Amino acid sequence: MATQERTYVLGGETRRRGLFAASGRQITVGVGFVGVWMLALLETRSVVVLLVGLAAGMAGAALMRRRTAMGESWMGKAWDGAAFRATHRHGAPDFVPGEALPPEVGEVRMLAYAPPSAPSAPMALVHHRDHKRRSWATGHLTAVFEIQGSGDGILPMRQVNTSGLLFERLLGGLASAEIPVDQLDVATRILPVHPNAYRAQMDALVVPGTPAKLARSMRELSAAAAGNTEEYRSYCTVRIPVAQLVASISGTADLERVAEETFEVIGEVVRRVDGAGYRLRTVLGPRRLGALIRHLHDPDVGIDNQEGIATVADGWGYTRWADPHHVRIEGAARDWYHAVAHVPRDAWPAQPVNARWMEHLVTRVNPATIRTVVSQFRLVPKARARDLARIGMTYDVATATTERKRGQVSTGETEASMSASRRVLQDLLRPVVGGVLPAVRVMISAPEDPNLLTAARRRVTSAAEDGGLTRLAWQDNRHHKAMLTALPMARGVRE
Amino acid sequence: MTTTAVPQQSNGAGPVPEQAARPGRHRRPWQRGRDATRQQGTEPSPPTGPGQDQQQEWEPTAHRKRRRWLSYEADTETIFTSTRQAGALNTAIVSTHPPLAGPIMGIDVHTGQPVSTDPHLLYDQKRITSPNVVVLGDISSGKSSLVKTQYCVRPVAMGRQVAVFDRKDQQGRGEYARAAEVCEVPVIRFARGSNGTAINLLDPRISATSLDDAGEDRVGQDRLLLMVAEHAHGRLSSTEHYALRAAHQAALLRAGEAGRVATLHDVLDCLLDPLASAIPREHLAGSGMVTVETVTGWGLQLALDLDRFIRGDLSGLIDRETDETLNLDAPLLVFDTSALPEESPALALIMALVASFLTAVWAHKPGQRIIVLEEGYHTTRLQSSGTTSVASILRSLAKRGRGIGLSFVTVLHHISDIPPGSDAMSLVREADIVHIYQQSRADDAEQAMAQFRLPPSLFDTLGSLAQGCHILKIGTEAPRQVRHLRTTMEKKMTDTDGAMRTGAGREGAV
Repeated sequence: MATQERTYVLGGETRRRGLFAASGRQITVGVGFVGVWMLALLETRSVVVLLVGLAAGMAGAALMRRRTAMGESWMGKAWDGAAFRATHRHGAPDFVPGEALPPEVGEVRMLAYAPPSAPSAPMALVHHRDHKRRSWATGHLTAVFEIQGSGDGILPMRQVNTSGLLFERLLGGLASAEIPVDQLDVATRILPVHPNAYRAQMDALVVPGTPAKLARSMRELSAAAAGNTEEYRSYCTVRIPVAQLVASISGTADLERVAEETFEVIGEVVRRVDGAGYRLRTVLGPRRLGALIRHLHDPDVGIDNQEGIATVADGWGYTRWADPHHVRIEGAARDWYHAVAHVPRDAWPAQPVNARWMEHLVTRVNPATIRTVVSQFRLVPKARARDLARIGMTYDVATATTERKRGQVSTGETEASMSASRRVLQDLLRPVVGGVLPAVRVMISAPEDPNLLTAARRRVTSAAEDGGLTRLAWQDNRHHKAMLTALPMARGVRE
Repeated sequence: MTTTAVPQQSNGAGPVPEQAARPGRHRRPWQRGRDATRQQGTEPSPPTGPGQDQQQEWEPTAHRKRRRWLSYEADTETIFTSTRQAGALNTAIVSTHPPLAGPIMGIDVHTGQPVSTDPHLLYDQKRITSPNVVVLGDISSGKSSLVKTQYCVRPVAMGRQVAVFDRKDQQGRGEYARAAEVCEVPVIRFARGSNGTAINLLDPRISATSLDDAGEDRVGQDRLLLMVAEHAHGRLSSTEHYALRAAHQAALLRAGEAGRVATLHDVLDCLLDPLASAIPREHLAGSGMVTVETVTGWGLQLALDLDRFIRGDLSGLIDRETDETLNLDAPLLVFDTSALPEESPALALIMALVASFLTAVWAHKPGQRIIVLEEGYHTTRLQSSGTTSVASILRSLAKRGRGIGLSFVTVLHHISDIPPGSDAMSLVREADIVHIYQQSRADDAEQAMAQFRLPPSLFDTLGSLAQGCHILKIGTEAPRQVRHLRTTMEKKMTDTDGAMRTGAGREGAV
């Protein structure tokens, strides 16, 4: 009997569930605005106030529309453009090394912890401040480890299904377990094999006395290999809420104790990741993490090259120039252009996909393009996930009922959204399944010429479309900020 | 806890250490020069006097303030789903490539990863347990190109020693002649008569017996001799076997006394004219039960068949002393057997003999070697029940190959070329590096899939692989589709279609 393919459905949810498809803060602001406007109207009885209020209300609604991810409104774009112009002086860099970190990084503390068993191999910890509450105590810690990755080659369906199931269980287990982890990011870096590294390796292999013709051929082979092949490195970033971590510590939660406990938590996550079939390569220390961040800014510098890196903060070592369409980094050898995109809420495919769906962005971008593909999983415990799905479904049913009462012809959006909620509720009935707020981001890089970046954008967009994504939202006017979401810092998921 | 590093960097206020820096508070002069900004860990120098370099302030306070106010993070709203559905978003679906095992062989069609298949380095990386290689594929699918490059000239550049049995005649010379040219070595041509190279089956570098000091099986002169005798005569009876063994010992003794190396002709002579010591036991000789004539009778039929065989099929190939001009230290040894008749048993025997000879010679020198058996199905031709087959000799060599850094590369068209249960099938089964090129016939594809446990989804792929593309299986790793990569020189070297093109006569030089 042929093995059935295990499938996944991600699409359906195209808009925010809630009153007017808006967030609580948006509704509060809207209600406040209407209240003030009404009072002003009653007080002044002025046509001007009426018109100004109407105009302001429309502008606000247009902005809100962008915020609800129902599509990029012209107003939203205009706002981004204005904000970009207001915050960037023409001809001045966006970030200069030696200053503090770029503003969007916010307030962070770089820590390192070496366990007694490995005093010479410290683990890098980044403590991110909670900017909403302006508190370090409610912030979060992140740690990064590199994994081997698995599943390439031509696998039988059974094996593809199994690896998919194990990954689901990894996420479900983390969401359900009593461990203080609320987000796991899996990032894969794809870049051409470094020509110099390969050439050096090949040169070392060729023995002296090799006939000239053959030696020339070997050199040509190494050049061809460097130009035509890609290498993959995968990293996991674990996000640990400090408050939750501290709550799990008995006794005094000083810095040392917190670091110790974090190490234990990371160990548990590594064990689970290993159980899902992804072998640990290394837990990143401050220098290695700094080198990774530097490499993401300047791909000419090797991902493992720690020269000149003392702390994680040294990763931001290059002058950066923000442009609406890209970010330019003055690298060690040449300039690099970067752009970032994410998958917006309305772009996810509604059709079932298989466990290797990410192949479209990870392996099927031709010709070779330097890119980082990041999947972020903000984990939601089962009880809260049930509530979210139930509330979502309630809103969808209400919308559908309203449409029916009005006699409106359905666009199918509400039904699709309802099926997404129903699917989540059904999934949550099974063991080791939790809720998740997933985000997918792609950062692409091209050297020297921004036109190369434009071509790379087209290639990646095309690959995404092949995978069934209706579009990628390129973060124009915000690439300098969006770059942060592609770094191993578990940032950028809005709850 | 041994170490807890203190917070090292902050981007703002809070319970942070003394190094904490609030954005914009300590403005530095903006240094445009790349070198200055790239000195890791060194802070740019502060202004030396009031008002100095005011024009170079890298960002005015107003902009920075606005930026702080307007700098909401690039947070994005996402969908909400279950971990069951989010399982499709795993990006770690390609394993980080282990260090390259030698020169790149090709590119993984699906991932773009470089693929290298040097058997010795793969063995060193513990990705395989047997260094032997099998290459399968239809005619003109690209398997010869792979072998000539990846298992012939590239290993030579890496200091490996390679021996190839070149079978195909290509416009008057073997198809590996170009590879020999590239490596600047002569071709060793085998031809019947006296104008070809000879390798003596009784060369003293090959051990006389097939048991080593540890009592383990190896390929010695006795086993090779038995193989030749069985192919000349058929399965030997116990008396014939005894007569041959006695003749072998006598031949070595006689030649030794004469101060020369024994050859097959000495064995023949000793079969026809055995020594008195050839009688199995003294009491048998004393009682007259077994005489020298009796022993002669035991080996007479065998001797006549062997004589016919040596003077016929094997004439001048293995019955003379090994050519002294044979340079066994050459990086590439191309044994051109294209002049031997296709149906001649000599072809397979030469393969077994030369392989045994080389392994015997190499056993005394450290190094890493590869033996390429082109048209490997020849090894199965000479096999009848109960006889010593060529394939069994090669299998024994392959099994012991690891001890002398030897890897066998067997090239076949289809699995069906080899009878099931034959020793040659063991060569295929025990290979840990398998390249499968196009198998256009469904039954061939099915056999290959069953033999190497390939996923069913590959059935159609095997039938439609483009030239140069193949399925590669390394050890227990998942199979992958690979496109073979060649350089300009290698393309010329592996071009076997010259004769089909106009102006073919003008081609040839690499």
